Amino acid sequence: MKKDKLRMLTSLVLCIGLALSGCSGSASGTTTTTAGAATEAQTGEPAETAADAAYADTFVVGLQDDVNCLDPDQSIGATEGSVMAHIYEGLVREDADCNIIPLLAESWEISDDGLTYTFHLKEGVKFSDGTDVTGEDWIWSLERARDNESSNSRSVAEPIASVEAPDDTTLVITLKEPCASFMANLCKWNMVVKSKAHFEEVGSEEAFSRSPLGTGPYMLTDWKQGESLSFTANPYYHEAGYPLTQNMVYKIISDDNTRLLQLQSGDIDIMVSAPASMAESIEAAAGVSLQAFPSTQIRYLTFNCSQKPLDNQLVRQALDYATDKQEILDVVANGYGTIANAYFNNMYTDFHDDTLTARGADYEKAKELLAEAGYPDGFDITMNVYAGNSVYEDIATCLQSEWANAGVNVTIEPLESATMKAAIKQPDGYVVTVLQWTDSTPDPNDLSAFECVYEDANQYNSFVYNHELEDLYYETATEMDREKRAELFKELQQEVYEWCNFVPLFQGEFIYGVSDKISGLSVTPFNKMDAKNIQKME
Amino acid sequence: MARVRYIGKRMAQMLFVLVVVGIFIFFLVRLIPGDPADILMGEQATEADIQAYRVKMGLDQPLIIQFLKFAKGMLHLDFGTSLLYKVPCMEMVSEKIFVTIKLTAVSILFSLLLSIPLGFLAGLHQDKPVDQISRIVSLIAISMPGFWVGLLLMVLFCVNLGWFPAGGMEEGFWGQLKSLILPGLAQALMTAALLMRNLRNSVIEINTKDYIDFAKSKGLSQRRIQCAYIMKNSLVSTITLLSTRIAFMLGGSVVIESVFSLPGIGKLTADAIFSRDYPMIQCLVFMFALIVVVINFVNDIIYSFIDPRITL
Repeated sequence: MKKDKLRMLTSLVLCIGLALSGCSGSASGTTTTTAGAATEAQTGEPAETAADAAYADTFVVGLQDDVNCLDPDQSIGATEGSVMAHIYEGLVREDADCNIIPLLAESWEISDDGLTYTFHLKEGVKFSDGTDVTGEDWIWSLERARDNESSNSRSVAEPIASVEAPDDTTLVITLKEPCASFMANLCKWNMVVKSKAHFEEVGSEEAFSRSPLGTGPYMLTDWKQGESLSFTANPYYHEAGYPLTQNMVYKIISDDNTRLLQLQSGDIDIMVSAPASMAESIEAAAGVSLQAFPSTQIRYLTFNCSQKPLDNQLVRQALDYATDKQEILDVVANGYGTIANAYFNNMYTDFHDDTLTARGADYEKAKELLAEAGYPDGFDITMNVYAGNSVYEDIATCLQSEWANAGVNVTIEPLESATMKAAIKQPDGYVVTVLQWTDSTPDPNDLSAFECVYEDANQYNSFVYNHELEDLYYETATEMDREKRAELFKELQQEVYEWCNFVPLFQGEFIYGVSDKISGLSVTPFNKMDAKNIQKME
Repeated sequence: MARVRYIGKRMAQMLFVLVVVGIFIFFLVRLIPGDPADILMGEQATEADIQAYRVKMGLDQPLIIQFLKFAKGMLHLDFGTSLLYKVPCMEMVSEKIFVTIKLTAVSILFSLLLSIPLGFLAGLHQDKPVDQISRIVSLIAISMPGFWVGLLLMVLFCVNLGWFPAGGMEEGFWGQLKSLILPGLAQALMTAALLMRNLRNSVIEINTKDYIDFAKSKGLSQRRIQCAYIMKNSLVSTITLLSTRIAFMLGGSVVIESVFSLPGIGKLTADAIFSRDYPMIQCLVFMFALIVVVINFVNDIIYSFIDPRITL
């Protein structure tokens, strides 16, 4: 009887095994078939795609974070911004070098007093449901960007006093006061044209965020929260022949290892934001290569200047002397990036101060400054970092071993992400930490405001009010002459370098794992993937 | 009649537990440091913008007013709109809960398939090679972390052999089954091991009981003794263990769901907690409590049928 049971069990297992192995072979092909089925269900005029038989009609992207909402005027982050860039478009956009180039506006003039901007819009632009884009839509969109309280990007639209559309191809924006970064502000994810009629049709903000309608190369056809987003080409797209690939699917795969495995098995074609530690695995994998794109993301060592001993400027500079940025770049980012000394990134070539050099690593000088400040034997300090984030934790570990050479003993205390976010807003919540900033407009203004305007963010969470920084910043914000503004920025960078309330560590790169069948991938320094040129070989 | 009264009493108890859980979670979740408006608006938002958002979502109102609103909604199973996803909480939860339920069902199936035969064999042949081997195997299974097993399975079966999809949930009945086999297996190992050991000990204990000797002396065949007597009696404690493991699996599915990118409520819960999405957390905890309470209730009913000695 026991033998019978065993025999029965073995034969059952074998049967199941046989049945399942019969399901093999279609594993990698399944995703393409499902997306292909979506193509057949599409209505509307067919897009004029390059009907080249050698190319696939779908490519799949593996995304690392979930997309919570697709309404540009809600609280959204860079992930939503990059996905929305396929659907929504604005007057202008940034290119791979952070220059501002025309998009829905073909040309523009700025009045001498810097208060009036006149845009000449492209003709015949339609939303992906076939309706025309009107002046009404632009006015409503920009006012909503400025006024909707759920939005976390209102500050870029704040300078707008009024928007007028004398006709459907002209838009006149009047500002409250001169805003030097306004053209860059227009590149942000919320300064896009949305359909007022569509909003009224769906009736509520919640419904609007689930059914986006824009003028971009792709339109959303299916959204399974936490799982996938499916796109198909916008049949009314204003650039003939684009996008090159009919369908695009985004899969949400938050685990880095799983994302890499899916890239290797061919289930996804593009792996977004691979951690630098995986660079070797990606390069070693067959059929897959690594592409690194310059980014505006900078990691900062952030000091709470209201806490001893960081209230002493000499101590802060001493810690900068004790920091070996090259080592951090090599260990944490695997060399993908450049060390940063000026507080904003080097893509703004006419504003960036290239003369600033890294203070470290110079442990003797660090000890000297510490002695001068009254800490000849060093001191103990607690560093809080976001728990579970290997980049921050690795940086903290590097700093710990580097600063030990200058007599500073660091205790690393990771905090859970929400607790950490609360801590950096309290004057006594933390002493030193590591944070990051990625630009979402091609101008140093946003970062500078965060660093210099005390009311906004306590001068980058440092809790000591440096009035000179703030006053100098306001001058850069309203100076319309580019050369004069560059001078002011160089001065501001020097000031920040001396004040040392935070120390820029390195400017990273966005690392993507890409299947060898994919061509035409480009990513802007804000981590927005330019999808319309992507093609996948069969 | 007694049974009907019993069921009525148990249902009233269930409701009471659910209400208490609801009140508890409302206040408990607000004690954790971290402000939802801060988190949702992101690192780069200004104080003024964050405050405007707080006012719009009603997060700045006095606690008691927020509580009354919550309590009123709870009575209709309306937990409000998720701060993170901007959709009604119940809508999102009811979409995703079925994925987790299916995953749990597959895990239970695997656990039972693995543990029942092994547990019986081990118990009936105590200290023989079968028993030794199964004890070692169960020790290994308990010691391996679920996500690691998951990744190993994925490397073998998805990347190298290509038999199963490497994560994600496919369409259709067979597609879903295919997507759930590896995660179900990974999640089942620990439960299978625990069940196996429990069943083995149960069987050994029952084998020593008087009524087994009596049955043997009556002349019943070994097979009939095993099926009729040993199996039924030893399963009672195993069913208890299984029901607690179900609750555990539902709550602990977040790791497996993350590794296999399954859109279940485990991951939803983790995300809601990290963003302090109060309405969503309240909704999810309430649903978990509901499931656990219902499982316990069904458990009790099953007992009363299996073992008439268990009085109501």
